[in-house]
Amino acid sequence: MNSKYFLFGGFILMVFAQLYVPSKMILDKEKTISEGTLFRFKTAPIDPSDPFRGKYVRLNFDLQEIEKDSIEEWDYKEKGYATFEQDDQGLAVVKQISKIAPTDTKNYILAEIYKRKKSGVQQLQVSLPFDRLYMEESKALPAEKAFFESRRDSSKLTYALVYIYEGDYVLTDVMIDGWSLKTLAESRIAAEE
Amino acid sequence: MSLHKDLQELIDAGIVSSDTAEKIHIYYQSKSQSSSNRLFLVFAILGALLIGLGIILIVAHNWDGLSRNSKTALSFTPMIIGQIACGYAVWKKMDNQAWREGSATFLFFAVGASISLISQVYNIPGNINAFVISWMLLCLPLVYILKSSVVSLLYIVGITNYVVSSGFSKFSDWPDYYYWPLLLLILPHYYFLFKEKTVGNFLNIHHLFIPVSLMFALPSLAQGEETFLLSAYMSLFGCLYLIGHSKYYKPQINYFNVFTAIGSVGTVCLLLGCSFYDVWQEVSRIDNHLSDQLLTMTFLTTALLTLAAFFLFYKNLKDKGIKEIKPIAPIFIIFLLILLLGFSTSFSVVLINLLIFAIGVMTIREGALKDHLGILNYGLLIITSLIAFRFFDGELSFVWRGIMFLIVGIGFFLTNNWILKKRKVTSNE
Repeated sequence: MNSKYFLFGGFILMVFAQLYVPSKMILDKEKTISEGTLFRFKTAPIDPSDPFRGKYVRLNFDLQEIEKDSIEEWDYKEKGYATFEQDDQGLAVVKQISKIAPTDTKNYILAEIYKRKKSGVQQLQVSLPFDRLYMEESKALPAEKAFFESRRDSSKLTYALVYIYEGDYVLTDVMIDGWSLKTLAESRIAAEE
Repeated sequence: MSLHKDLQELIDAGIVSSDTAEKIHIYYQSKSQSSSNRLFLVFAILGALLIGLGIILIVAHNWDGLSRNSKTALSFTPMIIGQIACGYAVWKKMDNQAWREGSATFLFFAVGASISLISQVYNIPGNINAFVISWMLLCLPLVYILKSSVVSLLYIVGITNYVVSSGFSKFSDWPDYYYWPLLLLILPHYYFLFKEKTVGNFLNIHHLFIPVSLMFALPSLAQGEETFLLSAYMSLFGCLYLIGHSKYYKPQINYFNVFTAIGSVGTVCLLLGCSFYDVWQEVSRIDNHLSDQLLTMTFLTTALLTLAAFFLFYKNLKDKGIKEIKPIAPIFIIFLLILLLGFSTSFSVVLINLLIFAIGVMTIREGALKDHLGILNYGLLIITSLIAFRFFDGELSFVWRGIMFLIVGIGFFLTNNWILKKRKVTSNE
């Protein structure tokens, strides 16, 4: 009988762990959405697939870079804190890259940092980690086509909406000239039918 | 009904007493009960596997029509159903294997589906390894609390998938060597199976899954010159083969010894892979900096595996005598010597080809002596593979290659025919 209670105690602990991990994921992301700042990152999507999580649109961002006097102290692909601000077009640009978390702002993420020298100028580049937008499986390909069509018109702007808060981030949507990629994919499917 | 009738007839004829007839009746009744239980267990596991996989696929559709709150609520639903089923199994049905395995298998997939759905809802990036590790660790307690062998097998598949998809990188967020502590976590269950159930399919499937997982994971121990990995693999196959032949291991299913099969086929495949000249050209290249390699992880792994294989070989030799040692058993030693020779000369390629040929001939001989068509044809297959591989080398003329294939083809026909005829004569006598 004792071993039964012991097993059941172990089982309850496991249940708590199984509930805790997804709940923590949800709460952290909800906090980022409610308290974070919304940034717009210029992007280009393509459409691959994940065996468990389904179809997603992969986002290709231009590497965001800043100039530095010295980059020697950085290792290849070392993790660092990147702080963002908005440019004149309202798009996100990297403001600062550091090895320790900034204390003067909450608009930063933890990301892989690349270093490079270009025409004698030393630069640090941020590899933006929020590169997946999961979509309903029927919409991923039309979404990609919608994007490639929009690219013919250079005045159209494609950007990802990302909430950023104290190192965490949530990608909520990709917009083409103010229209959600999901909405564009839906209208494209409707037009084909 | 017919058993009852037959037994009555035997009692009437005075062949068996009514007591014996009763015992026979009870014996067959219990046997049919245990086979129906086993069938129920298989259906419970299959059902849970299919439903679980179905949920994962439905979740992977990414339902855009549902709001974020509905999706997050939904992500918990299968998991909570699975937890209730498992809780009931722990509390009330611990003696019912079908309940334990079925509910644990379902919960395993439900946990995976839950994390997947949350990753979709919040577009969480990252490679699949972080996802697989959290999934496996959250489900590992099921193996010990519900004594679920199916979850144990799924866990082994999961961590093997992890080590392979890590690309054997030591510097990523999820480096390949995490595999080893993860594997250690499942070994107590394997030991319990080994200790508690002398007969059981789950133990057999573990005998298959664990060596195959080790085969996939071995490169994660490589750091430095990877040429030694060839010898590490050969010693691993040697260990498996010798475990299969040791007195401590008795195959569960008649005529199929998993360890021997993997050890033997692995040894032959690796030798065939090394029968190309290019491999030995690469090996001879590292001679110049051989001394630098002696303290690398690859070298230490190779040394440990080879020592383990030596120990098992010595035990086999002591327990069974030299006459009972099979041709595959000492190959890891011969291969190591050929590899060491290969650092200074490419003559090793000739020795490897001769070695494969010798193994083939000795296996054919063993098959003929034992009157075993399977072993005989395995030997013929080894020689055919050797010839087929040389076919791609392209250094022999077409005529010679053609003649070799003809000889082996005729050999296949004649030896099989000879054994079948020998069997006929023996059965007529």
